[in-house]
Amino acid sequence: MVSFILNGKKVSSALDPMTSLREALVALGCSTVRDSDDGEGFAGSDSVIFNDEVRYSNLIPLFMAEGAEIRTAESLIKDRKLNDVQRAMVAAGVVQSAYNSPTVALILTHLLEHKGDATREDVKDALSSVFIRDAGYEHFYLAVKLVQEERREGHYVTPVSPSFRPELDVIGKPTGKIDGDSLVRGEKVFVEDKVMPGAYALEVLRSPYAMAYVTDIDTSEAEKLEGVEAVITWKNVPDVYYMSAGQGNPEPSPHDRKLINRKVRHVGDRVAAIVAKDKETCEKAKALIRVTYEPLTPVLTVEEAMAEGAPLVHNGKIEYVAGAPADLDKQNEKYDERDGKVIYQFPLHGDIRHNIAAGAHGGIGSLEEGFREADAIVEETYQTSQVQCTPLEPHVCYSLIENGRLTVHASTQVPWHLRRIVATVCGISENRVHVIKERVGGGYGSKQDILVEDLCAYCTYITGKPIYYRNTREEEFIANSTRHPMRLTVKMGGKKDGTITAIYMDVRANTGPYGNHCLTVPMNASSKTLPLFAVKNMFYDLNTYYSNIAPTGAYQGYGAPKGYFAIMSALAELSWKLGLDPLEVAKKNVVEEGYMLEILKGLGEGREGAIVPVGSCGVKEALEKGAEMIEWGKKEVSDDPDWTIGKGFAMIQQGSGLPGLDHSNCQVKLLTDGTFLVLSGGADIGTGLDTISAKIVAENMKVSLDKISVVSGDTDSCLFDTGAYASSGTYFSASATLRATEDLVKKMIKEAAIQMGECEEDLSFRAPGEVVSAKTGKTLSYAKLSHDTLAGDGRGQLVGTGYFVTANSAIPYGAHFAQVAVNKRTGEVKVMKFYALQDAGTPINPEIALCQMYGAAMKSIGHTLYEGMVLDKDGVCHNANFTDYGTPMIGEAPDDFKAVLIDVNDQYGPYGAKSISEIATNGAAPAIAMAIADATGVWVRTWPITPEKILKGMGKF
Amino acid sequence: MEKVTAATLSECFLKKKEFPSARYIAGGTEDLRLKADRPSAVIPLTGLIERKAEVRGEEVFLSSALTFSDLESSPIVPAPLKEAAGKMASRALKNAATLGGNIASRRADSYLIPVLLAYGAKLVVFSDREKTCELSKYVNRSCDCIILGVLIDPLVKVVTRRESLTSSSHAAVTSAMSGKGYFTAVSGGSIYSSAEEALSADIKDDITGSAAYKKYLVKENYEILKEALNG
Repeated sequence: MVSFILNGKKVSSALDPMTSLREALVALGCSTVRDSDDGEGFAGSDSVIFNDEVRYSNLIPLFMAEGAEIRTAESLIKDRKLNDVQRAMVAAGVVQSAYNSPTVALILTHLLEHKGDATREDVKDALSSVFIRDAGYEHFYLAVKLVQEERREGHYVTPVSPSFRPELDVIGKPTGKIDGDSLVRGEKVFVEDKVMPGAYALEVLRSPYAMAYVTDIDTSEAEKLEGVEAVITWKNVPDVYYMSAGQGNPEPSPHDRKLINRKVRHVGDRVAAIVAKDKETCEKAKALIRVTYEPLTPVLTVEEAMAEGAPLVHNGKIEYVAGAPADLDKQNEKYDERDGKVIYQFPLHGDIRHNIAAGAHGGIGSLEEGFREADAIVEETYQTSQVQCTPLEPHVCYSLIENGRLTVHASTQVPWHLRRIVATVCGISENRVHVIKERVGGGYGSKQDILVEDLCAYCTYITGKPIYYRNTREEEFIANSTRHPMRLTVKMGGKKDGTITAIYMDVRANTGPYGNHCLTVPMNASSKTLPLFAVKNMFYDLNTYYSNIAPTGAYQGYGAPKGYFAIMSALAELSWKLGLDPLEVAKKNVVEEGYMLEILKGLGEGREGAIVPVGSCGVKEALEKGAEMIEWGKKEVSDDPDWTIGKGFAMIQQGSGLPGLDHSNCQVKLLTDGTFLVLSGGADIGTGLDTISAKIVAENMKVSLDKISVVSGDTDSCLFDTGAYASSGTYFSASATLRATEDLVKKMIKEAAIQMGECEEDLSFRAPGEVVSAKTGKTLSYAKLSHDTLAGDGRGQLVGTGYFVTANSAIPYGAHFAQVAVNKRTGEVKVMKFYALQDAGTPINPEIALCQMYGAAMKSIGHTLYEGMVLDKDGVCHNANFTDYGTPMIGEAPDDFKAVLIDVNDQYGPYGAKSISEIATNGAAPAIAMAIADATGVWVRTWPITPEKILKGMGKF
Repeated sequence: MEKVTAATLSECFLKKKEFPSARYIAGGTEDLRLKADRPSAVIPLTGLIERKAEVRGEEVFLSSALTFSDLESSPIVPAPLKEAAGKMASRALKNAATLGGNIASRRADSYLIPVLLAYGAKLVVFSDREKTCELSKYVNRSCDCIILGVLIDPLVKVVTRRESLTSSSHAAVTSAMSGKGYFTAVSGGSIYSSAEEALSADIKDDITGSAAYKKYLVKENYEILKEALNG
C-alpha cells in the first residue's frame, strides 16, 4: 500500500508499486491526468505537481509517491468554480481541443503561486513541459497576463483579440467558447471517459513487412486462451471493400481494402485483431498467433513506384461502379486474386498496374505560348516529407450494443460518414448504427479518416461485447494517416517587368498503401494555389502513386501546404533570376476581387469545375501590411558574424468547405423555459463550431449565450452534415445553423402574433429574450411563448430547421512573412519573426481564430524545419515517437509571433465569415525557405529544411 | 518491471550482484521512458543519497541525486554546467532527471558527460566502500558501482555546445572544451575525449543526421569552442 496526499487529502493505493503514478491517480478518480505519449515524457498531458514541482506522472513509479504531496488539475476547482487561470485560458482562446488544457492550467497556477509577477521567460519555462498542437503557445502568455491584470486591477486590461462588426452583439466579439469551462476543468467529455467497467479490449497484430502475402495464419492457440472472445483475420472478415476516408458518397477514393487483407501493404498493416476480456489477455493471445508471410519487395517512393517493372502495391481485380473505361477487361487480363479488388466509384484516372491510384490534369491557355513570351524561366523540383498529425488524443473508439443497435462513441470529424462506413463493413443498415461524436482531443484531419472505428465497431457487432480501443503512440505513427509526401516540379516563366507568363505544376503524390484521399489531398496542391494567380497560361498534371510507406490521408491544409512550398519558392527563384523583388512580382500577379477564375474549370476533382469571380479578397492588404510589419526590403545584419539574417513571405489562399459537395443541416429548438437547444450536424473538433452556432442563435434571439446549449455530431439527435474537413465548419455548418435560426425566428413570430393578437410585421425580438410589439409595446417572454404553444390547445413545439448547400465559394486569403537567422557554421535556424496575416471575413470567434492561426502556423513551422517520418529501406519507421519525430515545442516558437486578422466582409459566409483553420498551414514553408535562401543563398527544396541540408547547400561538407 | 528493495547503499550494491540485469534508478526518467531498453528490475536509490551541492576545499561536490533543475538553480554550480543542464528543454524532465542518472546512462547524446569531462570530474562512487575514480575511466567501462556524486574544480574555464534539431530532440553532437581538452558525445557513436578520436570513429547515420554531418559538427564545434575559450 502506498499512501500520499492527493489534492489535500490522504489517500492510499494498493496497486503494484511499479505501476505508474498516472494509472494510480486515474484509479483514484483523477480524470484530468491523461496519457498522450505512452509514458514517453513529452506531451505533458500527464503532468501533476509532485512535492511542489511539475512532473510527468507516467514517469513516477507509484512507490516513489510514498509520503508525497500531489496535486492534479482537480485541485483547481472550488465549489464548482474555475480558478482565475482557467478563466483566463478560456478568455484567451487557448482552450481548443483541450486534451491537456487542465494540466496546463495546473502548471500555470503553480507558476503564479510561486511567481505572481511571472515574466514571459517564466511562462516559457513552465510550458516547456507540454506539447500544444492546436492553439500554438502565444496566447498562453496572454492568459497569464490577463490573470496578473485581474489580480492587480480587478479586471482584464489587455484585449484578447480585436472585435469586429460593432453593429452586432456577439458575432465578431471574443466571448470564450461555450464549452471552454467544461474542457478546462477536465470534465469527462472524451471517448475514454465514456467507457464503462467491463469493456473488452482489442489489440491488433501488425505486419512487420512493408509488403507481403499472408500465406498462412494459425489462430487456434490464441482462440483457445481463456478470455479471448474472437480473433479476426483475412480469412473471416466480411467480403466488403471500402475505403477509410470520411468523404461524401460516392467517394473520390478507391475502395481498395477490406477490414483485414490477405496482402499486407505497410509495416504496421493489420494482420489479425484479437478481442479479449483485457489487454493482458489480448497480448498473450497475440503472441500465440502463428503467421507465415511471403515477403515482397516494397516500393517506398514515388520514383520507385513509377519505375518500369516496379512491384505493384495493388494488383487485384479492378471494378467500377460507374464510368468504367473501355479497356477495363484488358486491364483485368492479369491480376492476382490474393491482392483483392480495387473498386472505383467513378473514374479517377487511376492505373493500378502502374501503381497509379488517381490522376488529374487540366489547365487554361497555352504553356507553349506562355513560356515563349518569358524572359526567364525556372524549373525546379520540390519534395515534401511524410508529416504526422500528432493529435494529443490518439485514435480511440468505444463501441457497444445498446437496444439492439451498434453505438459508437468516436473521436471523429465525420460522424455521418463514419456511420455509413461502419454500417457497410458490418453489413447492416444505417438506422442500426448510432455514432456519438465525443469531444475530440485533436484531429487536424487525421480523424476525418475512419482508422479504428471500422474494426472496433465490427468486433462489437460480431461478439456483442462492448469494446474500448486506443491506438498506442507508435500505432499513431505507423498505422494512422499522415500528409502525402509529394514531389512537385514547378516550371514558371516571367517577363522582365514581373509579369508571370506561364505556370506548370507536375505533382507526384505518394498515397501509401491505400487510396483514401488519393485524389482530393494532392489535388489541393494545384486547386488551392493556381487560383491565386492572375496568369493566363496555367496547367497541372497530378498522379498519385501507391507505395508501401505508412498510410497517408487528410491533414490540415491537404495538399495546399506542399503546393505553396513549391509555387511560392519557384516565384521567388524566378524573381531573383529576373533581378526583381518577389514581393512586387507577387503583388503584380495576384488575383483581386472580381477577377474571373477561369482556371477553376480544370480543377474540379474528377468533374468540370465552375468558373466564378474572386469574391472578397484581402490578399493585397495582407501583403502590404505584412511587408510593413517586417520592414520588407531592409537588410538585417546580426551582431554575431556567425549568423546571417533573411526574410521571406508567401501569399496564400484556401477554401471554405466544398461548394457543390458539402451539405449541412441544423435544428434549433425553443425549450419549455424559453431557452434554446441547437442540434447541429457539424462536428466541433475543438475549433469552436458549437460556439459559432450558439452565437448565431444568441444574435438572432437577443439572448445571452448561457441560454443556449449545443448538441452536435450525434447521428441520432442531429441531422446530417458532411463533416468537419476542408474548412467547412463556419461556412457550411454554421450557415445551416443560421438558416435553422431564421426558420425558428419566423415560426416564433408567427406563434407570438397569434398569442399576442398582433401583426407579425409589428413584432421583433429584444434582450433578455422576449417578443415586443412596435405598435402596442406589449411583450411576450420566450418562456411564455413556448409554454403556451405546448399546452393542450397548443400548436406544437417550435423548432427551426435549416440546411445549407451552395455553389458559391468564400475564399480566405492571406500572406505570411518570416525572418530567420541562420548560423553559417552549424546550419542552425532560428525563426526570429513570423507574421501571419489572413482575412477570415468576419471572424465570429476572433480570439479562437487567432489561436487557430498560431496553431496552424506552428504546425507548418514544424513540417518546414523539423518534422518527417524516417523509414528505412524495409519501410520500418525509425522515429515513431514524439522526441525522435521532432514536433516543435515552445522552444521552437518564433520570438516575435503575430497573427493578424484582415477585416474583409464576405458576401456569402454567415455574417461575412470565411474559414480560418487550414489556410494558416500554407505559408510557413515557402516563407521560411525564401528567408533561408535570402540569408544564405541556398535554396533547400526538401522538407524538413534541416541544418544538415543547409550546410550541404553551402558546401560545408 | 520488478522493484528490488534495499534499505542502504550496501544492500543496493549487493542486490545488484544478485540481480545483474537490474538497474539503479533515482529520477528514473531514462529507464521508465525507454521502453525498448527497459530493465527487467530496478533498484531504487530514492532517499539513500542526499541531494546536495557543497564546497569541499577547492572543489565542489555535486551529489548524484541532484536534478537538472537543482543544477540550474544552485548558486555553487558553475555556469557552464548550469548551461549544459539547461539544454534539457522540458521543466518536468529537469525536475526528475538526475546528475547521476545522466552519467550512468552513458548516452551518446548525454547532456552532461562532455562538460563534466572538460572539468576533469572525478566520480565519488560506492561499491563495498566509498571511493573516487576518474569520470573518463567510468565512461569507457561498465561498473556496478553506485554513483554518489562528482567532484569538480569550479574554476576550470569550460565552454560547451549542444547541436540538436529541436529543443527536445536528441542531440547530434554535444561538446565541451577546457584546458583539459575537447570532449564530445556523438549520436550514432560514443563519447570521445578528442576531436581526432571522434573523427576517426565509426559513427553511424541516424535520425539526428548523417555521419558526415556529425563529423563536420565535431570539427566545427571544436573551432567554435576554441574561439570561445580563448575569449
